[in-house]
Amino acid sequence: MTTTTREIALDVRPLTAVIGAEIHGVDLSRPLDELTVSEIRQALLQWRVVFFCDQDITPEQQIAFGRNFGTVTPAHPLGDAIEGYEKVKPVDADRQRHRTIQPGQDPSTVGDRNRRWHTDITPVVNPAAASILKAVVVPSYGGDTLWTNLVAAYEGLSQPIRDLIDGLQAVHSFGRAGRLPVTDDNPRRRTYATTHPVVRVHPETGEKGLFVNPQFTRYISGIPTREGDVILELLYAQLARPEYTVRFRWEPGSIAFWDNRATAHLAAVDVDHAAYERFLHRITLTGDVPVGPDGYRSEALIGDPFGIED
Amino acid sequence: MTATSPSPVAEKLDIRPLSAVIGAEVDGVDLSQPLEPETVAQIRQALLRWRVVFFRDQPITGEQQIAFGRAFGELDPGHPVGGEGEEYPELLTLDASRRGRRATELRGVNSSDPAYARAENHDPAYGWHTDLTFVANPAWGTILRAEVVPDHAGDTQWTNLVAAYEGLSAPIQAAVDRLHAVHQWHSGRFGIVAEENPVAEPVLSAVHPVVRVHPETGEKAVFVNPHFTRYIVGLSKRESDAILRILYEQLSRYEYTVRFRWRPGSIAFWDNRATAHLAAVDILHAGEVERRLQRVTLSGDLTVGPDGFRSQPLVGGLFGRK
Repeated sequence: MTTTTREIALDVRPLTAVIGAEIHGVDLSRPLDELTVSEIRQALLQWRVVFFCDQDITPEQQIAFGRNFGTVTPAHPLGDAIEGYEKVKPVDADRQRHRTIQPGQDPSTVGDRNRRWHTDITPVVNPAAASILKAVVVPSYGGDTLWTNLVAAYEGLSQPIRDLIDGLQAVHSFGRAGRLPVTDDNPRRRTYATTHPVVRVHPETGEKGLFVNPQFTRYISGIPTREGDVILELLYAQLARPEYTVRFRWEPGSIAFWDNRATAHLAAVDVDHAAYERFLHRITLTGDVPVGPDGYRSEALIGDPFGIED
Repeated sequence: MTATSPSPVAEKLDIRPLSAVIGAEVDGVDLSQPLEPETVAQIRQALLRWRVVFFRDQPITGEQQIAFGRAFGELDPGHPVGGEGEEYPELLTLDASRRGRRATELRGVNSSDPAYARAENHDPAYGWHTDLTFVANPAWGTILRAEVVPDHAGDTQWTNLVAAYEGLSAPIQAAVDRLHAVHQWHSGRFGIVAEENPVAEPVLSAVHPVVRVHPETGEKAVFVNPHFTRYIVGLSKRESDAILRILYEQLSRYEYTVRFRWRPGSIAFWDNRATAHLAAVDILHAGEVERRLQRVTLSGDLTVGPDGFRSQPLVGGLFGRK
């Protein structure tokens, strides 16, 4: 196998002051040299999510790209791979529908629509370190994705609040809201549950970042419900503040590569407002066990670590 | 007016939507030239459909910006508090140097400092506003032109207040259709501060319907905003806060928004009757930046609610009217 050699640095173009950069001047269909991999990794750590445009690559090439940065996991802990590729998860518009009030629907069945922000796969004890999402079919407009910088969101909190949450843990699980994932009959909810630190120390940079998300975090352990709910509401509002976010408009061949240890994201926000085809391929990289500022290491309540080869 | 005559044939404008519900780029027009009626009509249609339209690479002068605005209606004479523009009365300069200084100061602020509590606001809807709603006749449209902008900070976002209204459940819609709210001038970080004596600045205030019927399309739109709206008339404070909370969270939901990255020569033209916007959210994180934009606003009428209520000035008269 030959690798391309290259003299000039990658062209990294930031999109906002705190998160997101486009990377130009690299062809992801080809094997990457060490310098390129190192520069992409640096850009990822600095900008939290990086974007590549016009990369018409196959699922095999997407997986090969991912392997430069770690171990590629199976598609998802709960299955859900595209046919023929057990490591590739389909992401399509239909799954995102019906989260706003539909004609004829009882509005009381619509849940809290601010709950779409999430960090990938946090119900497992070792959530993915990174995700790589490729647009296969996307509409010419609509269906943007947003990412938020959880380190910047943490740093925007006051010192007393930071001190408070530095010592807290929270339970994460699949499924809709509910405090008792263990006893619920919903099999998706029973399959995985984990206690994570509320603040995660980034294993590569040492930075502290928020590590709760409204989609998978159920409650803060060890404190009364009401106190936990108020704190989580504060943190959810904080991480969703526009100044910590970037918004990306997909084109066919667009690729987003995000550091899942330092970001949450919000998918296809206006998808309910348009009838269109939207289909993407996602792979994830095996993550390590999160550690809090107090040294607390995440503990699985239900389920095995994800993507660890025996 | 320059001697240049309008081109004889109106080209069909190229309208490129940016999201499902709001925002479109308009190509195929040179805003330095006088526009013919057909072009003006097409831009107006795009504005009504997409709520905010964007023009790229239009390095026009202030005079040309004023001429462009006048193609759509009468312009406001500057700003009710900020006063008239220096070079042209109608042209208001939005300069981030003040904000930039503040950012410089902020970076040195320890979060245990009491100043910190004033510096950061974690409210999810903080900063969203519709222009000039502290007068009874706020501008119907705003045209903002970027002169100097940083490379990767200072995006502006707009939200579609009609879509936000339509996304509410029917009982909430019915309730807010009949409510009215007090709006008041507020020189927060997103406002314009009267330079000489901020403490003595005028307190302008008006009461508006909480839901506005769009005078051109007949659509209903949320017409409160967290920057200028103070309270809902006739409700207890607790009730007013709860209703406003629902509406602020609704209008700031990302699914109703578009985000625009400025370049020098970019122009945004929004329908101020159907949108709120959020300025330069990450500018405090951007370090030393220069950011200067020029704005004109199109003189507006009284607002009207679904119940027929018409807005009224409480303090100060109608803007731009003797």
